[in-house]
Amino acid sequence: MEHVWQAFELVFTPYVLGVVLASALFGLFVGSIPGLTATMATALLVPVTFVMDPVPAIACMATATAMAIFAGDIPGALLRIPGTPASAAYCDEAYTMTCNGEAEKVLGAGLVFSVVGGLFGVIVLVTTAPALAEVALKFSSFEYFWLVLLGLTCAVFISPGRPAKGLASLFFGLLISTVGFENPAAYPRFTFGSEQLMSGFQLTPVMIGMFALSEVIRYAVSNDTPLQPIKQGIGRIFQGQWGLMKQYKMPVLRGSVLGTIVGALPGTGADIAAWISYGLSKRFSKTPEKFGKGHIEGIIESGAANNSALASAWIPALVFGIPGDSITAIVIGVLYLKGMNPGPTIFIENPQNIYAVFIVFFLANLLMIPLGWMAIKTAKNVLRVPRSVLMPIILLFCVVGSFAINNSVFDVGVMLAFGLIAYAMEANDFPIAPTILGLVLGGMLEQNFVTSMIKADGHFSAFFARPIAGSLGVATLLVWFSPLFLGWWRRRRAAAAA
Amino acid sequence: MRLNDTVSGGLLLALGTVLVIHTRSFPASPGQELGPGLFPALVGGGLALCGLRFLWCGLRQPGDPWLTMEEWVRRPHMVRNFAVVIADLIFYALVVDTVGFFLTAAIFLSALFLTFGVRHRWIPVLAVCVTLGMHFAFYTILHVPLPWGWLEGIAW
Repeated sequence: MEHVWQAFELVFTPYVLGVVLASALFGLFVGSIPGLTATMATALLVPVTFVMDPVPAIACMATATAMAIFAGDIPGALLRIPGTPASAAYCDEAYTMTCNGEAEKVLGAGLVFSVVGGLFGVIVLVTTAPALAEVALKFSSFEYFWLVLLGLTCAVFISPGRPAKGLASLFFGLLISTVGFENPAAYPRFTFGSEQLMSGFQLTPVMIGMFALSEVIRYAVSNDTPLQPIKQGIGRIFQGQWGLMKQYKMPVLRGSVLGTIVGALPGTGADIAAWISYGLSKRFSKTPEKFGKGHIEGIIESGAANNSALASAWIPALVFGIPGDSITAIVIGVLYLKGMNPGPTIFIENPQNIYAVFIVFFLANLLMIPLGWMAIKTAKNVLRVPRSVLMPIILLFCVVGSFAINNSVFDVGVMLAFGLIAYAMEANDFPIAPTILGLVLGGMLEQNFVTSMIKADGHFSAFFARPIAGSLGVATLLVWFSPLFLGWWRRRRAAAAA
Repeated sequence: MRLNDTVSGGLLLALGTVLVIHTRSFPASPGQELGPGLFPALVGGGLALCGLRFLWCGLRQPGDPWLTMEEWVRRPHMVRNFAVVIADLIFYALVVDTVGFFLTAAIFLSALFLTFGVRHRWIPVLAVCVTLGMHFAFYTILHVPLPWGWLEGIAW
């Protein structure tokens, strides 16, 4: 209990509250502007967190992302352009409602059910993370090896498009992670005589390149049509929301639970949670025929899902050091920089900091109500800021942010290279998230693999000898072979039907 | 630029094979069977297998063109936008240490504002204000040593 009080003291200082407020406004702004994503907001915040203590640094990121995911709903409803990919699933539905004169209802529901979903995710995070950490304390390199491999496997299989492309993207990330001498043998690999590459690629310039620069390039080569928000005024957004809550109890709960589960799976974030949730909502709805014609049910369910996914993605990140999505992949990098190495011991060594993170999550979600209301009211003005002005500013931010990591122009080059690679990958339907996870987890995978192999004296059977390691190993293999089994089953069914 | 499965498969297979061959030159760790080359070799093997898979798919669709240019490549102003973004970044990286942050950033921003069609009279105002704001945020608040270059004499 003493640690909880300490955590309150850490959070409720004018400085941390100021950081929370400023990052909330930043998150709302980034989320409301189409083309700027929550992941981009997080990547751009990394250099800003350098001078901060661990708690404000993490508070900054947690608040900005929660706000950005909600704010993504605003241009979705007003312009039919999702502010972030997490709002894409129900963007058409929301816009149809706005055209039907229900802008207040849809924007209010977006806000209220984002808060409900977000709080649900946070409650699950607060209750399960410490309990999981207790279990994780008993983990050895065998369990960690399988856990990382299972995480990476999920990232490949859940990523959109062909799994082979996800797999190639993952291997590319793992390859980048091998650069430098930070490996069990401390041998400089793929450095080509470059001193800067001795410690490998820095995560921040790679992230900024892949998530922010690639977006600026996409803007540069696309038709920029000025945004034309709807003319109608936005009145009382909270009116009738309680009624919706009572009417759609089950969808809200289902969306929150599903979002939490999907978020906690490595490599899947708020956007996938929203897509799956919208699909399920239609599937289980009593009135599926209303979907697509301006019906609130799917928006409520997937709006809750994307915000709950955001919080639960922190569970594997904090407990195992395995990111739940691209945002937590960046957060893990910041945790290491701040000396709060993620893993079960963080709950023993720095419990007050962890509790402080939990408090910030509650605070961010509660703060979303007044600030979200304000964001909706001012949305029309924010949407008027031309992207032709914003994009150059973001690009300069990318450059200075990459430079700030090591005060070296080399990192600006790294950012440029990875921005171009990410652009080319996306143009060829290779997903980016597996690359980032490969980069973040490559070192951990190799370290645990080599340690385990040495312990096992080269016998691979030892990887299945401990009960939890064995179960995780079998689960991983099952996911690997599931496409073969599914293919065989489909062929059999087709043959039987013929 | 979209590559078809045959080309992307061939490239991945080549990359994977080069990796596997290159890692054989890594020295073995003393007293250990697992040298520093093992993990990259496995990754190389994985890339090569993915490459084979794409090649297999690609060869079964022989009509697919090897390279399809994206729509924007045929539009001169978009090609110009793309070139300016890349050239601007290279320009920044090359000159910032000599010329200094203020001048480089102002030119960097002006070029982009001009390319993206911001009204001409706004460009100098925006470029100066954003440069000053960015310098204040990173140099003064975050203590990032942005280079002064030619303006070293007035450094604060």
